[in-house]
Amino acid sequence: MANLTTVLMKLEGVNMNFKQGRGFYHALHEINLEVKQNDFICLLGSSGCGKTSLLNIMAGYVKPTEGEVTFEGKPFTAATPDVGVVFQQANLFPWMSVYKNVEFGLKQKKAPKNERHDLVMHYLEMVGLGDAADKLPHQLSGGMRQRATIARTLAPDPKFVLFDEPFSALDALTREKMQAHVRSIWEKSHKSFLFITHDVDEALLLGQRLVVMQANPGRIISDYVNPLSSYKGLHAGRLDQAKEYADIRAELISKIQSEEDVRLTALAKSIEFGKKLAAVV
Amino acid sequence: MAAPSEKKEPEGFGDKLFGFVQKKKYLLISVASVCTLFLIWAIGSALNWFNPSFIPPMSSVWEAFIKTLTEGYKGYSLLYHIGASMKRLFIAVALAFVSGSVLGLLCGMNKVILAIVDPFVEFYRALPPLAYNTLIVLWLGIGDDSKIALLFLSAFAPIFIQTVFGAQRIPADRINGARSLGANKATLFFQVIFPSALPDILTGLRTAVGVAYATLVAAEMIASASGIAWMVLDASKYIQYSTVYFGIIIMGAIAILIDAVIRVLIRRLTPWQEKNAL
Repeated sequence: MANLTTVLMKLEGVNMNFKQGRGFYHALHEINLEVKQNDFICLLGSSGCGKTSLLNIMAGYVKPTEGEVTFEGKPFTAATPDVGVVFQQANLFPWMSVYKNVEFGLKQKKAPKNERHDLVMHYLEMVGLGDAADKLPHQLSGGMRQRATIARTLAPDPKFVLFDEPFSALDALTREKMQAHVRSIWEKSHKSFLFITHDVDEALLLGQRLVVMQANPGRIISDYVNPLSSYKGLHAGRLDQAKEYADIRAELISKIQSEEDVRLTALAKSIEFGKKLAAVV
Repeated sequence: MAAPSEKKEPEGFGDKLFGFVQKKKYLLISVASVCTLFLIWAIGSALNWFNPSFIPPMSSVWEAFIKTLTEGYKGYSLLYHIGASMKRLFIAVALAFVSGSVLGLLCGMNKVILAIVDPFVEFYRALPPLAYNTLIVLWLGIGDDSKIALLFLSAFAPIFIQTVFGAQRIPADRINGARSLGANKATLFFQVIFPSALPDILTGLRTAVGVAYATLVAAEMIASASGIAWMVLDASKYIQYSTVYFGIIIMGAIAILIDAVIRVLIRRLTPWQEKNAL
């Protein structure tokens, strides 16, 4: 990693439309994004703001309706082992042991067998699953499965890793552990990470760069350096130790709230008020 | 586990028996249920409740069975007849399994191929095999080919349809994930799509064996001189009802056996599906 400011992936004027009835649904509008080497970007946005559409484009699963995507300066057209993806739900192959799952990407790279073994065990131990190598995915807990997926994604040594809300289905305790895990993996590996989440605290804890999206149509409304990333050893439950925390959290929340969210919050508040009123009466 | 000392005491015979009964409770009920039916048959025949030309006594069915077992039926041993049927069934189902699963996977992945193949499968699968049996004999002759073809057709549709369904419901994340790990098209097909659909393919296989087995009678109806279904049909022509009875009992027992084997196969091959009912 000679040059830390090398642009790895670049999106220019990306638009995405989906057919919807007779018309179109404008999922992404004029997305411009540069992913640099060693970036840890947290992509924040409420549901339906086009985060997953953007991920599908960056992973090479779909082509944008309009716009250019380049990877290392070349047009990016299809999924490649250089861009790894960790999905929302662990998508391990259920018929393969954890070991074989992690080995899968290495086999596609035609890595020699003894080298494969060392790498598989290295990544399994990195995520704390060295003892579970022979287990089948259905024998693991949700957190273990997600860790195995991370090991599988990292094993073929991708340059860029996309995470699509990978911890949203986990319980709070497991999620905290996993977040610390991902952060330390990133610190050690010097890869670029793009982490999609709708959890503001998660983004503040993990990200170096915060990219905020808003819906209708899905677009990027701000992109800045996370002030909290300069704090060393910040813990999930203690983000308030950073003096900027309260302000930036409030700012981010107001940004990701679309009009609809505001309406829903107002509705929820009025229902709450009604309940309280009923309780009093 | 509250009192581990109890565990150390050697279990008496009574405890063991009780444990066995507890564990196999429903199996034992099934066995008892079948035994009761045989008991009614035996008692009924002994007390002349039934007309022996309609329901022959158990002893004469048993005698017919022993006689066929030792002397054979119409020149061939009983095992030969069973073997002939099983051979036809096995070849037909094996062919249907290979072609049905491969074609089913292709159709599940590609809507154009599905649109080409689907109308034919949908058309013929509703037809009773007896309706087109004659045509198949016309094309393939009266040998084993036409019988295998008939069984093949009945086995193909369930495997094909279930495989298409299985291929269509493979999660997109799984296929995308494999592509991001560098899988090419062949790897994707054989190492991701095929095993993903395997539980459904095997479910289709299980249905197919049942349907093909039921078609065995139709297949062995025409120009046959061997096969267990033919034996039953032939014996009924000559009013040898004892032979008909034990033939039917054997056919049923074989069906149960085959299904049990397939169930074991499914459990072994797709252990991750364990939670789903079998």
